[in-house]
Amino acid sequence: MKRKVVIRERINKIKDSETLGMVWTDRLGRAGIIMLGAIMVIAVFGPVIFPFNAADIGKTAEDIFSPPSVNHWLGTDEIGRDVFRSLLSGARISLIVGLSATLISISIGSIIGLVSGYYSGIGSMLLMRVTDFFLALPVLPLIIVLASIFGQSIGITIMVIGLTSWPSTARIVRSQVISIRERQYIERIRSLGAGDFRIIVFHIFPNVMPLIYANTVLVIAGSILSEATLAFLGLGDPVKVSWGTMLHYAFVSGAAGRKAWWYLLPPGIGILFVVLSFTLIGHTLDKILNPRLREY
Amino acid sequence: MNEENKNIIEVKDLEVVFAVRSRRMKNVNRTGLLRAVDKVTLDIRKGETIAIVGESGCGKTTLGKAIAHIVEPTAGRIIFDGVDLSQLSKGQMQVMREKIQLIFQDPYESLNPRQNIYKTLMEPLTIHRKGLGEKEKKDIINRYLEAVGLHSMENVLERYPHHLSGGQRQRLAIAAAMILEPKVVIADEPVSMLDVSVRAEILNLMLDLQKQKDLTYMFITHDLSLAWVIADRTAVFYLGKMMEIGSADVIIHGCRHPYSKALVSVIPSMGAKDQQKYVLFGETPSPMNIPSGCRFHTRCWLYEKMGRPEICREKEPEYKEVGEDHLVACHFENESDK
Amino acid sequence: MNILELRDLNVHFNSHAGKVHAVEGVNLTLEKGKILGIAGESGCGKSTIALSIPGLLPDNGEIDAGEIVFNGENLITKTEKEMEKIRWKKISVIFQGAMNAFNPLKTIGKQIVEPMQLHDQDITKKQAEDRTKELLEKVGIAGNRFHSYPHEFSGGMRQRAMIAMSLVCRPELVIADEPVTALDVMIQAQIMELIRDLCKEYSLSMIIISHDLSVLAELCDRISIMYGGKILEEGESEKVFKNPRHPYTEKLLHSYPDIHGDRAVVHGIPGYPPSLIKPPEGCPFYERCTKRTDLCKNHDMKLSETEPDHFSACIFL
Repeated sequence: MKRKVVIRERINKIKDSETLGMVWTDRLGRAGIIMLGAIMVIAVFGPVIFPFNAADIGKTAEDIFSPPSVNHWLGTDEIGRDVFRSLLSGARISLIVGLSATLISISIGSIIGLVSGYYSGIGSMLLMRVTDFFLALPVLPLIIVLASIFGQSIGITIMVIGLTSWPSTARIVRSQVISIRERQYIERIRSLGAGDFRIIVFHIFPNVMPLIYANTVLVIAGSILSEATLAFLGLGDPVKVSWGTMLHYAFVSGAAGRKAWWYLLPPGIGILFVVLSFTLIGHTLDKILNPRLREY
Repeated sequence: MNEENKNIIEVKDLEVVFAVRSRRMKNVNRTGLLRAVDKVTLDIRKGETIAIVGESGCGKTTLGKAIAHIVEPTAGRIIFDGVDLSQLSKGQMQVMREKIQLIFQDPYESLNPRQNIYKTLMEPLTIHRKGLGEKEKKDIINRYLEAVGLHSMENVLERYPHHLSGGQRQRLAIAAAMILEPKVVIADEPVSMLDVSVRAEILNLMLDLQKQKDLTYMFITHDLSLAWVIADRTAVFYLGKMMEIGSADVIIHGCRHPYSKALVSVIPSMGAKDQQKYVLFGETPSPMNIPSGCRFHTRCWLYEKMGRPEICREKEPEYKEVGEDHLVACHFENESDK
Repeated sequence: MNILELRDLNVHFNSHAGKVHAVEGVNLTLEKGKILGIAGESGCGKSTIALSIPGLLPDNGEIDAGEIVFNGENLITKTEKEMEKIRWKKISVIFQGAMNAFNPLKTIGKQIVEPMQLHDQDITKKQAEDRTKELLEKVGIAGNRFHSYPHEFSGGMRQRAMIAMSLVCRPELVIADEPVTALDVMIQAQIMELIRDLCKEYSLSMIIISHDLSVLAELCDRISIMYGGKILEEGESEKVFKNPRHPYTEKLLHSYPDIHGDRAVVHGIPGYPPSLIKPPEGCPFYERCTKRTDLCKNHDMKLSETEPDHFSACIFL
């Protein structure tokens, strides 16, 4: 019972959240939220209502690359599977990879940004050099190497994207932390006898959070796009088919030559739609939160 | 022995020097020494309000921070209630921190914008009063909210700093400083950023709390007339050194140091336009380039009047006792009355 | 001869919180060659007046009524092009926080020469430079600092440079918004002396806006006390300071320590200034006034003469 109350309180908090309200007020932000809502509904409920069965393949020649019809709303692919259902399950995969990679990226980036920003000295410098190293890591060769050792899977994809995208978050967080640590309220808290841990966790981190939120949303957009790119190049998970993978198979099987637009366009538009929605929200958040950060 | 008990803080030959990269275009990589506090000896007596007055760059804020130990002194000692602070371990210093608290100048900057009032006041208790229970801590918080006059606000504990006016924020800052029952409170320009009509309430609040809790105040300000109103003693600082110290009234009406005289003479007075003003020429030199001898001689009207005596350029003046509890560091203070 | 007259000026701002009535029914006169002070605490509308006169209100600001008569001409009716001819040449402004208004990438000298060249097409580069160096000397900066950058100047020096910039086209009227706030007391005294000397030398008329009554007492011939967007008291400054005739002025004066007087802790004014979005009817000081009565709520706030050249809007004279 108590748990429900806590969850309900948390939801109310988000509803009442000024920031969310402000994103809604902005036209572009509102568009982003609506788009995201639609995607969430599709990704969560789509595959439940219209499950994808990999074994349900075409039996005759007409079943392959067939255009949209009553049975197959978006036609069929090169093996005769229903494109519509593939699309729905692909949505989940794309989102899961994007969100997981973002989780890794933001966690590492924030912690390293916080620590290297707060402390000055050799430790901080070392952290910055590590950040630079990861910043320079080339994505494609890395995933090719890892995939050849461990095989292609969404785990590898998630890891690669996460490991190569955290440096930019770290840098943003670090510069914000450097400016916050000189503020007078930090000085006051120090004079009260607060230790470094308390200062970082209870004072600096909450003030960097708005920035991290805005950055997170944009990183999600970037991660989904990265995943799509890698999958399209054939480096994604061959079994767990994401939209990028769909595009890959589409191209590889000659859908373009067959003018099978129902196979090529939907995943592409899907990617565009998802990335756009996160980008719109992220940019709006940035717009709202940044001047207010200065106001604070 | 009795002398020692009278002073709650004794500052002995305190120096705070920063190594700074020179900003001038020519000396791009030269490291200079910024003498923020340059050998200061000062006693603060139990229960008094002492005002530290000076213009920007005189070291008064750095002195306050050094005493509160958020800036490390480079040399010298600070003795608090008989205990030499430089000898303390980190843990022991932590305990000491409760006893010396700071109130800052900018009510908009000294509070964490993401902490509501409850958290702001709870924090000092969380750090230093670990033994107390939740309810006891809440009682203390409510008591101090009442003491600073914030208790009547609706849902006061949930409010954030941006819901409060400048005066209210400063009250909160005072509550946060007082909640650990310190013995000494160092207030750095606590009212200079507030509207003139709001200042009185904050000052009166501070004075009331002082009476109730038997506090000692070190009041840092650039405003001599404010010091006159609120302090028992005033010390005038210039470029990191104390030029004169005496009772607040004597500093206004009977000061002897030419710098003090100049500061007093430029206090704007509504109406009385016939005073002699000593408007000093030029600006305060940089604390990285402190003039030789008496550091004030480069702008001193008395130095000019006396025909630029060599001693002012060569020798730093000693403190002379010119009256009861009245010290002046000037070679020619007896000539400053014309 | 009045160089400037504000008649029943009303200015408001459109904000997302509502209409902010910054200035209501303000009447002011400034005689040629004199210094007028506009005093008031934060949010009373005084800076809005500074911006309205040269027509520099931001996009969300509007003058809805009244006249701004400069040398006999109503500035409100002028077009933007006509105002461009007046700005800097006839009326110049020293903005609040002017010390930080310099472009850090250009030398001080270049930045002062700029308005000169903008407003006088015939002036040669050498002439402009010479005049600038002359002006810099006049305000107490060595001429060779022409080539220095803003970060090489202290706050006080930047303020002097700002004053020089405002005089570059030899205006008749200078409006200074908080010219000495945020400066050390000694520098304040220097700048105040400078302002006094320059006004005499160039026969300037000046409006000084400040929250600091003591600064205005030193400099101004006339003073207006503003509160809640309205003028509560105005007149010859000596008369207003010696004999305040509005409870707000009285209380405000008592908020300043008087070293020639009693040492008791200064008094303040409990309460807060009224919201300018829903300004109260009648006297804006009603809430905080100890002498108030019901009549004050409907008072038309017209200024009445209490003694020659001393006006108050208080019902109880």
